[in-house]
Amino acid sequence: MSDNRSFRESAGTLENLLSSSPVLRVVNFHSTPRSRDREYREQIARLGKSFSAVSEADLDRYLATGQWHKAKPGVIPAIYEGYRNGYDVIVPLLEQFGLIGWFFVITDFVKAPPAEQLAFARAHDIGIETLEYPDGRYALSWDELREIGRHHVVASHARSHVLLSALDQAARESEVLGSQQDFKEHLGRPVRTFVSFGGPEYGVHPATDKLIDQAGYQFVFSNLKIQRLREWA
Amino acid sequence: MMRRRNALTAMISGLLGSIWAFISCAPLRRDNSHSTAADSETALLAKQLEQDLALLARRNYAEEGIPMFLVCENLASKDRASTRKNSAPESVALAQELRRNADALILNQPNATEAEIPKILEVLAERDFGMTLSRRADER
Repeated sequence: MSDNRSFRESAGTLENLLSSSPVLRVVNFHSTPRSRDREYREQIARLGKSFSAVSEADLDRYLATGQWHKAKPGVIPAIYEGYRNGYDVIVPLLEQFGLIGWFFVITDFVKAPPAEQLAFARAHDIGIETLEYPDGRYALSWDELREIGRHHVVASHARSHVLLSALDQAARESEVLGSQQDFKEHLGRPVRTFVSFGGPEYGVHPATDKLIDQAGYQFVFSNLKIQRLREWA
Repeated sequence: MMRRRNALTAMISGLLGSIWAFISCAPLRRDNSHSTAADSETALLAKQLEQDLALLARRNYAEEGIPMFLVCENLASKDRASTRKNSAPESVALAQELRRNADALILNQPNATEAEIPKILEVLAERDFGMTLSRRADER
């Protein structure tokens, strides 16, 4: 006998949510090696032709009002983990084709010494299939992040890419509050957006939610949602 | 070819349009023609969905750009309906497509779990603004 109740219930819940909520197109990238440059160029060129860039202010307005205010719909290229090739390969393409990238950065990856970054990646579920940097630096540098932050969005993907609900309170604080502290220290400002490893939404794990509030993040990205939690001062 | 914001709606109406055209050539039977048409539409969709899911499963998530739709929620407003009441027809079309494809998936996978839901949304996103499925169409 078939049992697809959880499937039907979840589909129904999402259908109801979709039919009464705005949606946004997102393209999720991880490592973007130069060997795939042509493929990324074609994809980003197509996106740039049909869609508009989404800044934090655009997202804020869209979620606050439910109204998209540009002629073409928005698209968010979301670049996860903080790979160096996001800066080397994707940023020039985004700028050529007029899009704003959202860079979700694991701050301990960035802080790891270059000689240890591959090992850090292997130990923290950060996929690196293409080995392309002989100097061993696979993460973005803070200088690159500061430059990215001038035209694109820098966001927190916590400190070390672990399941927050499985951690003790001190470790969870380090991930959520500590990563925000890292950004304040190195970018000179807090970041507005947070995403957890595994993509749980805000509202499913109260201890994590409390820390997200405490850190002051405005937006939470998850597997199926973008949530706006508060006004941004 | 990249499809635009109304592509989803066009896709739905295109698919429905072709189905209705097919039905219009069949002898009119008022008793069960409606459910038969719906069944054959779901069967067609199930086949297409199965093919699309198989194709998308071969993508390299570590290095490819993966399109997805995300639902936007405004938890900051006491009146959460302020966002919802303005939701676009596009969201409604997407919700309908999700329902149709969820019904179709059950045909292929009677024991499907909720873990399949994001995959359906990925298929819808690929059909709307992705490259993998359009490349396949170009190759035909």
